[in-house]
Amino acid sequence: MTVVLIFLMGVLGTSLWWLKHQSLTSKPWLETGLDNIENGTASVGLSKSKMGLIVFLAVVGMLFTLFFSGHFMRQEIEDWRSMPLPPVVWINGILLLAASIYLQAALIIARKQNRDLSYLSPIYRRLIFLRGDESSDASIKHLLLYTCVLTTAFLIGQFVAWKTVANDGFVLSGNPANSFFYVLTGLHALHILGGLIALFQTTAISWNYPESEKLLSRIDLSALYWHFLFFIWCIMIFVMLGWTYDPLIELCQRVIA
Amino acid sequence: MVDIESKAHQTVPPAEVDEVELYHATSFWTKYVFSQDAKIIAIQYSCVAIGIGLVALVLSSLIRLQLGFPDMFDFITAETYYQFVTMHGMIMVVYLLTALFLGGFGNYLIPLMVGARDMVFPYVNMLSFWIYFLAVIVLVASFFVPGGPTGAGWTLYPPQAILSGTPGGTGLGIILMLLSLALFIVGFTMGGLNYVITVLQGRTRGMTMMRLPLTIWGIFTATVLALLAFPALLVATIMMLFDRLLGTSFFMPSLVEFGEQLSYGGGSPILFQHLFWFFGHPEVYIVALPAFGIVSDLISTHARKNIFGYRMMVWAIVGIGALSFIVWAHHMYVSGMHPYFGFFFATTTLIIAVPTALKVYNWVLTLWNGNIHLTTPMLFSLGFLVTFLNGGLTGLFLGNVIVDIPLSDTMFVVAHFHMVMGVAPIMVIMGAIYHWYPKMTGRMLDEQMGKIHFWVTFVGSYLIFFPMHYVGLVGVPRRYPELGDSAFIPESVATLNSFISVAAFVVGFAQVLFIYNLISSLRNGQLAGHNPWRATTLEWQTPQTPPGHGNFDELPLVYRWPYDYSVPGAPEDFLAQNDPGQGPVK
Repeated sequence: MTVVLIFLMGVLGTSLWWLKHQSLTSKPWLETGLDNIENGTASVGLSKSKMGLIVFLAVVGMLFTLFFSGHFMRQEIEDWRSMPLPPVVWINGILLLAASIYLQAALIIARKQNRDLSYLSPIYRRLIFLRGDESSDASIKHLLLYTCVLTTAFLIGQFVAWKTVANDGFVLSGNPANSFFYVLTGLHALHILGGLIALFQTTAISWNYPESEKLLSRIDLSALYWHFLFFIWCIMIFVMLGWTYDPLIELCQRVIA
Repeated sequence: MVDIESKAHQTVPPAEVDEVELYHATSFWTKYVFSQDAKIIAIQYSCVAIGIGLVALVLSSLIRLQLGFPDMFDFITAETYYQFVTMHGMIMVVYLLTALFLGGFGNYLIPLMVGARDMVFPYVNMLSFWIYFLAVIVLVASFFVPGGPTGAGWTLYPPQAILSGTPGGTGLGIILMLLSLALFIVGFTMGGLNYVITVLQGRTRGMTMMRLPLTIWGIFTATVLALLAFPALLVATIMMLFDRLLGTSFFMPSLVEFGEQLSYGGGSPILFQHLFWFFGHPEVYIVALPAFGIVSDLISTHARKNIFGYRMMVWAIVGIGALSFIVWAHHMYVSGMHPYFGFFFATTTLIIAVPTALKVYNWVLTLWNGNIHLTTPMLFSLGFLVTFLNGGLTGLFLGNVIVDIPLSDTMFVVAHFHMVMGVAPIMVIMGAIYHWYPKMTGRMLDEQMGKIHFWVTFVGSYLIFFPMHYVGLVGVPRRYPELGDSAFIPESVATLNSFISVAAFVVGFAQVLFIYNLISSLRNGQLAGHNPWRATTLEWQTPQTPPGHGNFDELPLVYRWPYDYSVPGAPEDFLAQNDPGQGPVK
């Protein structure tokens, strides 16, 4: 449960840091009126939906951290046999990273109205294989479409990964390592799927109503969600590779011995 | 008390919260059934929670029938007894208390008290209720499946929870229980996001965090705890469902059952216990913190005195919330943990007593020299104070490893947690219902009936749970449907058990009076007016009672904290939060 406590310390630390700015030491019984409220009332300079997403991501983070914790505790029991990850997960990782980068590009453009792809730095443009000759609306909707395609490809890739390991004999109930692989990747895929449904809607809006005011905020939220899920995915792979295990631990043990 | 200061040059800061576009329902279905109005959702949550709570109340009477008069009723076997105990516990803790405090009171009070028109995500809020409703339906369905509901105890410990020896273990009972919990958590997360974000981003002008009523502080902090703690239960339910349905071995060790080797192997039941109690202990405070908050407001309003040590109260709520995450293993002292862990968790557990005691002192000091009105809400608040103190003191016993080990799994534990998280929060819920019912319906509840209800419930609860401590101290284990001829159990235990049972039936029956009061006052209650308790908080300042869609005509401006009672020189003896305070008074 150490991992959970570390995560929790992060969340609580952030909350306490925020609380610190809420004039917790003020004496409300002495302070009447409106004009001595220094920082105003609304305490976080973010939109409601963005704040909502951030809190939601904290909950999702907690969920995955608890699974990681369970993974660490369970792998200490001797029947644990680590499972080789199928090579396709590396391709999937690149797909998800690419989706994240495309979405970020869409966000950068959406933030600057009337700018087109030329606003992106040349390196960024080369990264996403696009030239700067499209108008802003067109490039946003295309970038969103590419993100959808890449993410769908990621999900298909994950399905291929399950098929591969199942064909290799690593079935769900075979060993707890396999069980964790299926449950963790499955849960992650479910979260991606949920985000993808929202992103499909956003993409549809960008094609049909490119002037919609909601577009920027929706892209903003999607981008945050995608980056977060990519981050979770990376940690997940590290955990499943058993990085707390052999080489590192052995090295430490040798150093101590 | 504060003298009123005049601010001639008072400037009104610009609105920081945009006017929300409310969804205006037109048909009956969208207005009252699939409603997006937090007040309707709150009433829906409350009715379903109280309804399922009454089922759990009946279950507790059946439990007491068996314990008080063993072998007298043929329809109660050991299996059904375990099913009653399990469902009683789970329903009361999760589906009644959590849902009622956060879904019920949270939904009703947060938008009104922070001066918002509604929750920030009304549609998600509606989904939250309907998923909760579905969770309750799934839970109730488990009573009617072959084999009946699960009888694994409310903690659902594996491996026994999913083995054939446990009622519902190999049938549908445990599956439905786990599914229902998972649904509840999904639904709650949707609601919880609403409660948190509304408090963070939906407050009206002038309503700083330090001007929030303690009710909101309690509900807000409890929601944060719940958002972080319920995932642990979700993880546990998912893994147990996999173990049960798909043959994985997350929690299941290798087992021989009836001479047959099961396919499980290597799993860790202790892992489940960690996950369960990582949720389970914060859950105590998820229930207690809203109660703390609400009772602070009730005491202050009905004693016409400002809350003593408001800042301390806020810090204590936040502190208790943070500490509640590092005490979970005190539920697992007998699981064979390392003694140093036991020491650590005993220490953190006892540290929680500091902010908690601080709150109790502050309540008492609020009452000190107050103008105490012994209304029904005040009686229930006082009942809470005493009961919580009593329950808390036995908590100090159980927090110590060396005292806990012999007392573990005895009726002493049952008495302890019923006092501290059964009776005490229920007292607050009752008090809060008597307090806010006039705002919700426009009519007062009958005070006479309320007082009878209080005294029977309060005295009755003590008659139930005080003797139970003794029963536990002499060593009667919990979860035993009958005691048989055990040498170490004196005969007085049987007598006491019958006595407790009779007291329990009386208390259970007294709740019928309460329900009758709730229903009959809808039509016959005295008209309440808009602020019958002369309270300061914003929900009492709405133009209509009950508040209309959108709560306020124009969003109120908040000029002061919520506890300006008995203000010298004020036209009435209190100043509402949106009262700018006219003229200097010296």
